Amino acid sequence: MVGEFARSWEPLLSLQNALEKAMNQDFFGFATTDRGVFPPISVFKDQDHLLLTAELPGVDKNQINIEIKNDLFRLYGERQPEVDFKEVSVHRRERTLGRFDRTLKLPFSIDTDQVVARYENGVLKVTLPLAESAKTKKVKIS
Amino acid sequence: MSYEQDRSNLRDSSSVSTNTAKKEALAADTTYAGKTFSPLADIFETKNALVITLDMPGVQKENVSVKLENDLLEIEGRVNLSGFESKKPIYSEYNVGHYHRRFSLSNKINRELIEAKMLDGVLTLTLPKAAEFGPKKIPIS
Repeated sequence: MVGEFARSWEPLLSLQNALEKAMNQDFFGFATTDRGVFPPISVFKDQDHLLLTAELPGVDKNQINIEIKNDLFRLYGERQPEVDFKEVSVHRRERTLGRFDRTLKLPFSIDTDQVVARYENGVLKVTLPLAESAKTKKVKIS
Repeated sequence: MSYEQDRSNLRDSSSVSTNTAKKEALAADTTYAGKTFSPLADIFETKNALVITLDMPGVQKENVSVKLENDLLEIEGRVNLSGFESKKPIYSEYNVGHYHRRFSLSNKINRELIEAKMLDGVLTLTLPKAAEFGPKKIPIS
């Protein structure tokens, strides 16, 4: 799967195909996600890290909380609307607002002291280094 | 429903005869492989304006384009894919792609005063209502 989406001449399409294969189905349609969970989370892996990304546009950094315990990852907070609903007349509402609280079980053990989280352009990116015990080790045959 | 945006209109092979013409054709070609998504929008009306907020996570301010042509407001946002090299998806709930959406504006909007703000992946468009279309009191002579 890594080889597939490393083809540099079609990076966007290859990434999209790799993400859809990870879900084993093409259900995305015209929206980036129509699953209804909020915020939607994707987990990537490279040699020594897990990268967890969540789409959380328009949230104040201080309203996002991350908690990690063993291999459980909890993301919770609140997304405020930009306008006061009492002052406006609503024509259309498609976005999800309000409180969110999601817990994921990570597939690998994590070194919790080295976790780094960044929030850029509405995407939360959390880099979780694998614990030593979870890294792949080569065994030499004596 | 997925579709590819092909806005290049210079693909007529009979006109691509010289090197410069070919270079111009390639520069204007905005075809790329991949799905384009429609960003979710909320539309509100306040006393003086219409406000549209669109979710475009992963798009930087520099990669947003808002164009108004005739009565069509066209919004485009491009994501960049850096940060995903050498990584393999093991669980995914959302897909990543560019954003595109169009709205038709009525003539009740004052086009000169349209404002756009982009922060943390949310584009907020403020479309002020044209004063002459507000409610009027008609004096009796």
